[in-house]
Amino acid sequence: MRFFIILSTVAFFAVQTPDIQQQREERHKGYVENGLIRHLSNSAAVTANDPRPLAQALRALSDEYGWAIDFEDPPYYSKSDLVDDTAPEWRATHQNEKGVTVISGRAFQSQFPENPAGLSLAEEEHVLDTVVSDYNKSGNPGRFSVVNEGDGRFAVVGTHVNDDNGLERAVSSILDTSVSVPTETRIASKMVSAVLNELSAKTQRKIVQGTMPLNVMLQSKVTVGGQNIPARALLAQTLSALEVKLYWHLYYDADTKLYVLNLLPVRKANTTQAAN
Amino acid sequence: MWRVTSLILGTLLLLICGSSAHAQGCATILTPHFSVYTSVSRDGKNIYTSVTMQGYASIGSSAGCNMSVATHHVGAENVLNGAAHWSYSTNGCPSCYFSVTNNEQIVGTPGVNYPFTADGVAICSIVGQFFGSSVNGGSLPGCVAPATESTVATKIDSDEPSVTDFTQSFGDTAGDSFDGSNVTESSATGGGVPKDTCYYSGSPYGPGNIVNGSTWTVAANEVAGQHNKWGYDHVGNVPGAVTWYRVNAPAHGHPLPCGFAVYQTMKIHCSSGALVPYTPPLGNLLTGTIELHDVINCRNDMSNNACQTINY
Repeated sequence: MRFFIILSTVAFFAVQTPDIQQQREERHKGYVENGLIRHLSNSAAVTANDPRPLAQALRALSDEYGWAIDFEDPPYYSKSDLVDDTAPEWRATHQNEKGVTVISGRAFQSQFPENPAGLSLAEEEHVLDTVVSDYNKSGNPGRFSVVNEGDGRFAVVGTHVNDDNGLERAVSSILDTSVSVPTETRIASKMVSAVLNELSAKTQRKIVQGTMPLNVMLQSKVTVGGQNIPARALLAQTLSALEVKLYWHLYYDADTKLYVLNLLPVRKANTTQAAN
Repeated sequence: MWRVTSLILGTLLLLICGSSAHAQGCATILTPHFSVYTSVSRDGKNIYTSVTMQGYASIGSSAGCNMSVATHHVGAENVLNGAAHWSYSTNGCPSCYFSVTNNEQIVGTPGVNYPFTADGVAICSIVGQFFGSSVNGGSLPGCVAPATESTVATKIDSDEPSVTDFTQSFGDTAGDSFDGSNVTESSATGGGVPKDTCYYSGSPYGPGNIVNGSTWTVAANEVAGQHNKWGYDHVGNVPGAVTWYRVNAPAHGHPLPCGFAVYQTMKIHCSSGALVPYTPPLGNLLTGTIELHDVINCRNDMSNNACQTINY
């Protein structure tokens, strides 16, 4: 039965009809490069359109308010959560190959209360709860929850995916896995690699370091480590030890079953737009 | 109006060509051969000004003046930011050669300009001041930024073998030393649009090379002891991203070669804590290109372009 499901999934993505091409084009036209925040009278609205619309919305919030919001994909695997993203020009020369997918996320919008004088940590958590709750009701892939990591950090963690029948399946976050890394002074990128290597070994999953601010990660030294500590805590300690405030986005690729940990700087950017 | 102008010109000519000094019932001809020199130097934080008055006087025929008992001395005035400071030479014979220098310094604040003027005088014990000259040194900017910066691709990074370590050198015709100063990078806002042609919506790797606000100390850390140099600036895609995009980007409609381009503004830290940009508004263009069998990392600085091809 399991073999049949895999085979049918492969077949689903290997065949690309003109309809699928058209849908792909329409999806790509709808995608936006960055999430957008609009300030209203006593609230604000965030909009996004991306295969990972929640991640894009959270990046916009981080850029707007200077928040460190970590994000973690759940391990999507089904045609309910994935769409064919094979480029037709590539397909034309690779007719017998499987093709590639992306997460099937689309447009997403959420409105949340905003205090012009600034938001406390409790208010930040409330905003994140609101945005995540709106997302979970939006029909986009996955379900998420907000985790208070302490030290001013929050994580939005994938908790559910859909199976091929569209039924929700609970999943656990890979970063909750406890690992042991000797406490040493290391270059920050080496520390992150050490955590990810331990995590890969412990879970038998592929987890690698992604895009990161090279200068800060290759220049800074951190002294972090411990026995049987959740990988999330070790990563948070590492990033908190840096002079530049960073947060992570852990993305999952279903085609290769690969986790990639991207590190991003917290910064204020011009993502705002005055309400008309 | 013409009369006023002529009067000013006549006065100037008298000062420049010499003085016919008259005092206490005697008269003599003193022809001054003095000059006032100024110099300004900076180290990125402090402004140093120097005023030198030097020269001598020729003694002409005199009537009733006993110049054998006369003494002369000269003075140099250094007026920096409105504060006047005089230095005087010791007394000497009327035809002796004199030289005196006054040095001042001030900690510059960015955005503030400091007026600088200089004066030199020659004084005779019998006839009083017989020469005076002023120099307008202009307005000196507080906190000097490097005039130029150039880049060299130093080596392949030892931790990330698809990344290049670039070293930067400051150039400045005034000969400023920036050793010990801090410089910080940020995303340029001068109109250049960062892009990554490898990245596709949904990619597990985020867009490449983040200009993230790192700070370097000039002539320290990886370039310790190298005068007016800072580094390394690490430019390139991480190895995992190189492999990923080679295998996966074409199927998502992003054929090779592909790469990122970002714009970097560099700012120098002033003593006040303010950051003063020294790169052009568009910023430095940093690129990282992924090809089938190698990567090319470039840092297009305000003065030159440097690239490195890595077989990775």
